[in-house]
Amino acid sequence: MTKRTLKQKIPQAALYLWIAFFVASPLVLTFVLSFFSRNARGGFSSDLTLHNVLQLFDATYISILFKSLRLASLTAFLCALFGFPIAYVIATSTPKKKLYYYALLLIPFWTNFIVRTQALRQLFSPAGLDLALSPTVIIQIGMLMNYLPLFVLPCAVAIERLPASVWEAASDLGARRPSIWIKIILPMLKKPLIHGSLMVFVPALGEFVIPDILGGAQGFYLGGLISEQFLKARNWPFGAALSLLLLLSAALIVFLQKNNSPKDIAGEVP
Amino acid sequence: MSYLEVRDFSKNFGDFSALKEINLSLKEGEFVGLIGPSGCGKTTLLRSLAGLEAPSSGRVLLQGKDITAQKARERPFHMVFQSYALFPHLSVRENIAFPLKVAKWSQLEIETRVAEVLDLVRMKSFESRPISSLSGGQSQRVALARALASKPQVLLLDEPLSALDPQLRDDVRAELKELHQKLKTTFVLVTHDCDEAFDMCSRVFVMNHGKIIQEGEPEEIYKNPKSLFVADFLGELMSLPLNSLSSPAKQLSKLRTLDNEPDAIYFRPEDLSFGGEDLDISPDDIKLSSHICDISFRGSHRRLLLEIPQLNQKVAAFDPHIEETRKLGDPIEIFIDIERAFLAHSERCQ
Repeated sequence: MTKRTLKQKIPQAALYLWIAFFVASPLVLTFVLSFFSRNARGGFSSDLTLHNVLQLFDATYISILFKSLRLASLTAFLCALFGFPIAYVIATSTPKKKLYYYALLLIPFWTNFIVRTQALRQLFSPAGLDLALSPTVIIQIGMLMNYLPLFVLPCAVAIERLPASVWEAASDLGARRPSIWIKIILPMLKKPLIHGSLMVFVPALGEFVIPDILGGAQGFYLGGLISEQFLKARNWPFGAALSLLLLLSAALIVFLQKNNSPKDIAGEVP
Repeated sequence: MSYLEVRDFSKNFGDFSALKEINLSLKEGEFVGLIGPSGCGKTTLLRSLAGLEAPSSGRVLLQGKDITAQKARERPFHMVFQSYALFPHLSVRENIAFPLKVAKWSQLEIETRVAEVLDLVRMKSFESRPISSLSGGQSQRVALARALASKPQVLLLDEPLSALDPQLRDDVRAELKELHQKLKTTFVLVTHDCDEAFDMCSRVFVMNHGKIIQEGEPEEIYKNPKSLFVADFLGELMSLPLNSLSSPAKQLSKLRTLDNEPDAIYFRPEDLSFGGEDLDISPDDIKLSSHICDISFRGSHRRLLLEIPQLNQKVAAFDPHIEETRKLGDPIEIFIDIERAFLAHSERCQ
């Protein structure tokens, strides 16, 4: 009896330790660090201050936050726009083709994304596109390219799970294609569409490598700002405060989405 | 004139021909069953009636009018899917209202009709429930109500009972029969369970390998199967090789034969009677001696497994006597009813 419970307890304890060590403690450290002060040698001292947090409300930083929010939400939107048809084609193709499409989607991950992004830049410059297009547009293209699979994969899985009989039933009951899409299929896919967009939005909010490579001076977003505080300016406390801002913005968006989306239907028994 | 007619209907999926020149004709208001083993084409035929499968060749006529080219949404037929295919994001009421909305009924008409069909399937109190809160039986009623809402001319039922608990099946069978009597709509049922089809349908079509191999009233085809396959599919069938029987040729000549070169005698458990008590044994019945090697209690009767030592074979029989008078190992004389048994060639089962 005791042996058995011990057997169950060990992996459970390992899991909690893992979460405590790799998830909770960095968060706590970041939180604490953002109230510390910077010292003269580029380290930090434990003199508590609100300076870092108050500095966040500076117009410069607020505008960078909004710029990042715009980049992330536009990336999520574009990924949904282009990703949904791709996911639909993949999900509804024959098993053999499906494997092939999934491979096409995943093979880019075998190369480092910095290399991929750099390659995109190489692709643009000889064609003169880097001068013709604004850096913001080029950054957006790079973001779309890198984040698209993050949307397509979960979305394709969700579409695959839609039973074919639902479409057939709607058609058998007299509905035409457009109304089957609008009244049945899209509402049934609402949740995976939102989840897929969040899968893109949250990491895109902190992205700093793609804007840096593709945008040069224009490519300065929240993620870039944070990395600069830690790596160049050596202002760790302010970097921590910015990280906290990033975390809270992402959490707020996820929270808003959760409250706005229809409640889990299963929970709503009168 | 027949109400719904299928003429020389064939359907191929690549190299595989799922339906081969099907001919079928239904009268208005009939409750018919399509039965057969899995892969026999019964579901494909039902889906073809619904318009979900286009034929490779052949026609479908409704009251003499060719509707082969009509798509599923244009046909006045609705289907109850095996998985019910309810719309999970809509409530019970919205599910049932769906076909009425797309047919552009007025709001008032929709409300009246939804209430009507919900009443018909006894689900009135579930009107605003979400689909995910329904049990299997309730989902099935909603699927039925949804299919009936816009008053289809033919209701198609694809294995409607297969996803239900066994206890529930009998209730639903009775309700489907009652519903059919009330509505007088033409019902087409697909099932692999002969019992179900026999119970509910006034006429059944037995299918195998994409063809209809026998049609008729349940009792008629059960008693007079045209082939060994049909006999075997419709119920438990046992056989004894003819060359092992010592019965005189005169006795055997009274049996029905299904083909020219019979080599075995076929019979069902209920065709066997026991010596010493049954009064309806005719002098021509084939007599065999055996002993009991297994008794299983089935509630309303006992099922006996009998070993015939002289043939080194076992047969099953029903013992209607509930009192435990027979014991394992008891010798027992059995008689095969020659009015009901038949002869056939044992390799003609397909």
